[in-house]
Amino acid sequence: MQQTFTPGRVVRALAPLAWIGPAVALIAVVVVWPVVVMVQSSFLKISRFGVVQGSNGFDNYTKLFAEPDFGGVMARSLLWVVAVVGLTVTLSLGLAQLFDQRFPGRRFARWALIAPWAASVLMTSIIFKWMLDPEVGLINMIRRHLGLLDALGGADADPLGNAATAMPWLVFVAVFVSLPFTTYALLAGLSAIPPDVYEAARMDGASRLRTYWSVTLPLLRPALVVATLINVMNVFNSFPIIWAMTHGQPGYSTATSTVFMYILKGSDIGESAAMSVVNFGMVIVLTIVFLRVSKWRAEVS
Amino acid sequence: MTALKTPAPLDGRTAQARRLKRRRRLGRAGLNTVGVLVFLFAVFPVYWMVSTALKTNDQIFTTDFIPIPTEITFDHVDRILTEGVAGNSIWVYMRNSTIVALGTVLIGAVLALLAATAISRFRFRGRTSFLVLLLIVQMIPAEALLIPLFLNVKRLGLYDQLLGLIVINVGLTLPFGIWMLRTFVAAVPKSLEEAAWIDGASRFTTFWKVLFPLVAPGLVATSIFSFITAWNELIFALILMSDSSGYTMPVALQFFFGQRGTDWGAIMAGSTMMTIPVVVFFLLVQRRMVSGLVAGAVKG
Repeated sequence: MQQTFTPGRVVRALAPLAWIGPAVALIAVVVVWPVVVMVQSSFLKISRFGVVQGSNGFDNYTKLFAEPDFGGVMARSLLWVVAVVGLTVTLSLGLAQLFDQRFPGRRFARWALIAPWAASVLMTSIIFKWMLDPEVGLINMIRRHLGLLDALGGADADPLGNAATAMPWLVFVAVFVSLPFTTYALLAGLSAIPPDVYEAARMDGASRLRTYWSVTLPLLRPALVVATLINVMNVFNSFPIIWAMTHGQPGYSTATSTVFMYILKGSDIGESAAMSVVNFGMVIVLTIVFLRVSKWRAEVS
Repeated sequence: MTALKTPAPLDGRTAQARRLKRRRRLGRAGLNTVGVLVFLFAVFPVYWMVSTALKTNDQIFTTDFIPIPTEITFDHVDRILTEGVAGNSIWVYMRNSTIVALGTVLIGAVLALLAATAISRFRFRGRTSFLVLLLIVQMIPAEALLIPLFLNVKRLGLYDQLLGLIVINVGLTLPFGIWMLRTFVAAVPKSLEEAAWIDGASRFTTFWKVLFPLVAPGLVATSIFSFITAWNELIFALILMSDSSGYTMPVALQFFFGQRGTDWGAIMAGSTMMTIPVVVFFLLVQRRMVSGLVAGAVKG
């Protein structure tokens, strides 16, 4: 490209386009353009069969906000993100610390942690749905075996059919599938900490807990921030776990905003689009709040 | 931990050493125990999937607790292989899934590498906005784009075609791929490329002969990531494929959730067929993948 005879300036200005163009075009077609359509449709009146019947102003939004379940869905989405990401990061910190030690079984434990990752979110959710089957699922079998079944809701205890127990199980599965990536990200952060820092802390007579709190955690912060951020986005938008396991039921008791949006699509496309916009707005707000709180710029760059 | 704080007697060096040794041994035993627990916990769902696939229906649909199948059968595997589901052999779906996943990986890798190179090697207008765009794209759930994407795919004449699925999967995995690869490209010293230029190599030759081999580990990591995404993608495959001969494995598996109760043996047999190749592959490339994926993500 450099040796062509065309005026060099033009070529040089267009050169990046040749490299980046295909990616930009594809992202435009698959993401950007659909997002524009999504925002547009949130202001349109659309029939159940997808026929546009004209502008609807803010009616889709007012209808959405007036849904009796809207408040609950939004609160649940927030709770879902905070619970899943909080538990994931806490447990991953422990796991990363464990895997950072030297012990004979470390290799196998590290390998094993890849399993939920490789088995994928969808598969893992289906397997857990099977384990939680009210009649022949493993969990109820174990409870029956231990004589705990009656204490937990009688002969037909249905962990996923009961609003009180379904959500905790979904959180459990979400944490389970989020652990591998988070743990490995933190592990990489840990291994990047130079050993002489620990040496210095030991010289100063710092206890282990104190060393962890004042030396490890601050140095781990960049990895922690990035891992948490990726988790926040993924978990907030997580659809397969809830959809595969409960479809947001019973009622709307396990529906987060993403699931609610999907359910609305069946009845009112315009309202569903409005939900998508609200959902997107919420992820952005969450991300900004998180970045502010964690002061990531200072840390990462 | 409290032992750390107890001051050792000045003349008790050997006693202290012995105590330290014992504590280390105890500590190691503790670590191993926790390690084993993590192992069991992490592997259990996959184990339960495989063991269900190999159980007889009598042992699946029972209220008895059977942790290890006492009778092993290949009936479920056999049944889904010979009978198929939704009017096709299971191999049709495996083939479709393979085409979609490999297509996504190949196209995605080329596009991501080109874009990542441009980002870390050129200074051009719109570079920062492009980076911000990548980040924002990550925040949108794919499910929100179902209807517009459906319309776009129809408009492009890609409805009911595996290529349509490939395009969507590439579009959805590309931002993360570029974001990660760019750190790998940036890590390659520019002087290497400059040396090649001085020797008269074209920009493309430099890219192909110098940069590409050095970025390959990062490419492996991002490729595996997009492979998993495409291999397991359900929603788009569900709405973009109307003809059952175009279904992918995750779609085909949905047919075992029948109205007359769920055929767990068949589902787990199908899931095993889908999952085991990926798990084995993961274990093989584990070291490279984890270091690559993590290095890319964390340095970002």
